[in-house]
Amino acid sequence: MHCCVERHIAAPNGWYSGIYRVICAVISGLRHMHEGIDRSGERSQELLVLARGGDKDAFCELVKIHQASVRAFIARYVHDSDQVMDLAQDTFLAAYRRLHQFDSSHELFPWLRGIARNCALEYLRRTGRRRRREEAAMEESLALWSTERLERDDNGGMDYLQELKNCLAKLAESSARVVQLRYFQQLSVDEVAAELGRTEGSVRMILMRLRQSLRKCVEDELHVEEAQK
Amino acid sequence: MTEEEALKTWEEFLHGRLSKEDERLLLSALKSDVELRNKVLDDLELHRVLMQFGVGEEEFLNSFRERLNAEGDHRAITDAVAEAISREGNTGRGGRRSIFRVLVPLAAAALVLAAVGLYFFHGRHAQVRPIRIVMKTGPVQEQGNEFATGNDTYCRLAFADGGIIGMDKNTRLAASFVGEPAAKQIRQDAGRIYLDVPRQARPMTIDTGTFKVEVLGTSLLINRTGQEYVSVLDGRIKLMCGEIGTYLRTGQHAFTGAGQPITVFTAPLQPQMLGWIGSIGLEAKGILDESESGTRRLSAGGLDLNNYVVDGGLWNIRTEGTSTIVSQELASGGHILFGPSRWKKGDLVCKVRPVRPLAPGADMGIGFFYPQGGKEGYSLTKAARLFRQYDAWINLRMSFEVDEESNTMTAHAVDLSVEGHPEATWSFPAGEKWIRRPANSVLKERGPCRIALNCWNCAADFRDLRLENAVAGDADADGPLFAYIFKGGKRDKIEDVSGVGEAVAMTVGKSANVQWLDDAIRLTGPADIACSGEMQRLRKAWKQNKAVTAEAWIRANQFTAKEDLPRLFMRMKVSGATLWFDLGKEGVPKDRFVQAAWVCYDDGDSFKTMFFIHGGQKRLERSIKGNMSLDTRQGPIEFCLVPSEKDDAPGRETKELWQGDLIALKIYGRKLTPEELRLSAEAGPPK
Repeated sequence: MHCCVERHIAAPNGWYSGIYRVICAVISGLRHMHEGIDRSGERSQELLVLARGGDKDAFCELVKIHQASVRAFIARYVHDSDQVMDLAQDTFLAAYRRLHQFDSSHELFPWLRGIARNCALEYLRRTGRRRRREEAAMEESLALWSTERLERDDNGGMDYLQELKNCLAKLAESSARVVQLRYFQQLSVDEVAAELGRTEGSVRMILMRLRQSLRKCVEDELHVEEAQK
Repeated sequence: MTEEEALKTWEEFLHGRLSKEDERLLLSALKSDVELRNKVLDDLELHRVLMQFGVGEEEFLNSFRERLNAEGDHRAITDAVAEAISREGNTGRGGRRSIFRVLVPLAAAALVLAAVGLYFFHGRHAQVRPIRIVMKTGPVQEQGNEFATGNDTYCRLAFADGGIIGMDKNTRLAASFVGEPAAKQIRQDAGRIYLDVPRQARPMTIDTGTFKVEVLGTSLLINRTGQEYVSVLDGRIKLMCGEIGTYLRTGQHAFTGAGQPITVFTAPLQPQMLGWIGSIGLEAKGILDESESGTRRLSAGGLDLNNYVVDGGLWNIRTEGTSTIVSQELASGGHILFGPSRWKKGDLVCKVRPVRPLAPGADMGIGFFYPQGGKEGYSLTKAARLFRQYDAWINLRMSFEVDEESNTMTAHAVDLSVEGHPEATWSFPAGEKWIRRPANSVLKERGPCRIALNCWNCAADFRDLRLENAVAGDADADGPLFAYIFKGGKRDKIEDVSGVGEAVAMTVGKSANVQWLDDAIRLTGPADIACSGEMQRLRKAWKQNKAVTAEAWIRANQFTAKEDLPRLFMRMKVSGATLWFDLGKEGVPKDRFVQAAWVCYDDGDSFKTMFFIHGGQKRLERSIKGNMSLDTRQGPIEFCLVPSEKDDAPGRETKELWQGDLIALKIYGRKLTPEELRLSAEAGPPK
């Protein structure tokens, strides 16, 4: 079994190995995807040229490469998963239309990220008023604070997902499984608890700590990357 | 609440396990503690990103591809049209009015959606075709950059960097491109071509074998059918015949033959020389004017308009009664229709068919576009989707109305039916309306709107795409500014049924001399049927277009023979200047419905009139004495039918009054063409 995790932990046996493989596949996919970006700068340039000429298939190839990062960026600020999906698609549609404006001597993701930021901001501002009328106080406040954060966001071309991927690869096996059940398989907390034979409260605590460690890891990665620049 | 308690509570909130009371306490803690709030928000961001892992990439990509193919086209339509029309406001009107120059932007705007088919890629670099077909009326032989039209086919070509060639039927040419920037070289082997090229860095040459033409930027006509000649419509060209050369300027023509000297003369372009260009859509100049960009021309692979690549697609132009409709077929299978501008109400009639019956994007809508920017539209999403399961044509009729005063656009009386499926019908609930108010603007500040129908993911049958009963909104309108139908009345008031702006009724001054019939009003003496108010719209149109047309539907009881005297029918008066409209001596059989039309206009030197019956010109153009310019005359316009006044004003030929039945009268703020009048005559009197 070849997987990014195997450098950190031994491959498990029995029923555990199935889930492990899923996590490996996801993480490996993420890594491969991003390595793909790095490796295929030339290919991206080719795709860009083709897409600028109106080749939709070529553009879809570019979308395939960047969609996860763009979605991840939008998801940081927009709560509704369906909206994240729509806004990410809006981002790519807008990019397709403005492709001729893009300076191909630069990286594509920071440009996409800028478009995504505008799309998300427009959405948040548009729905802000409605939120104030219709939604609970906590949701309203979170949306407001998220909007403020996004307005301040000046994280250049930083790819949050890239850093998160690195950190996920460092997770211990048991932690990876919780993440896999809760976030990859989208099980509810009580379903995860049942699956793991734990109480809901303990699963919530595990998830909280997991995110704390992931967050710290992401921040460290971002700092390292920034320092290297 | 301690930080640890708060984070624990936050975790419960995140997973939907928090009571309202605890939520309130948590919120209070977050509001008061910025550090805690930031921790929570960091955590929330991570949680949301992790939640995205559950969304499949394939699901996202499939959904996106669907939007790219479907909604992308739709947006391109609306944005492109809005962009094209918004530029109208910035277009100077004083420049040269080359027909092709007018055509290019609209064609380009409409071609936006035709997407990407003519790009070719060689290696890593996209190569744009330097010349390509942008419109054709039938099959055109095409091999590389060589094109040939057949016996009944016309074609229009566009250069990638600007400029257009119109090809008459039975025309053959080849284009080549030399150097960088490329010098265009056209070899015309047969037929007739019409060129409109922008100023460019290197001269373009056209070689007919007999002579060679060099142009830098101009429009011209080159004929190789029968006598070979070159006509310059605008600009300047260099003409070479062997070793002999000369320059031609606007309005000059030259003909020559092998070994013969060049004969140059100056004369107006004859209709038979240019008539054929209507077949490639150039007659719709009036409409296309409105979309003229003034500066932008076709560029690489088409016009880069509002971030879209313009390419491909064919378009059609059709005359409906007194209106011309331009429509564009889209590569996506959709359709876009441009109605004349400034129509404020009417019935949109069309027939569409989902290209992909089960596709979520199968849709259609009607949009209103404004020169000053902005667009509003009705989407018929739900209605159109009702019938997606049918693999059949869907007929749509929708009445719409734009009201600037109330700042609303209203759609009512929407009817949908599926052909071959009588059970499948859908109508707007009686009396119900869809009313739209622009969110951030006032309609009357945007200027007159233009209507466009968008169908995306739908095939549209062009033959069944039309606007009916459309009424125009102001002086620039194609339709009548005032319309009166004289039937079944009893009172002495005849309403203005044009539906355009403020109605101006007519009143009968001498009731004793009129008799109301079921279908007309019978005039037996001076009636003094006059407009009761100021005809502001007519004044505006007259000042702007320097022309007016009056079209009357009548049944005469007098002028049956050519020897009859002319009879005074109508009078128009402004600040003492008067136009007299008479008829008679036309030899029209008695008791027959007649459509009579007077076309009056200012040609710069004087006012002139022409008289038509059923579209046929009955009197030669002639000048009217007196000054009818509304630039200097400020008084109200008085319009009167069969006036009792009998002075001897200049231009009046008779003191005899016309007698007969008057059925309808329509007044236009422009010159109607004989063809328009003929079509209107064929349509019969308004009901």
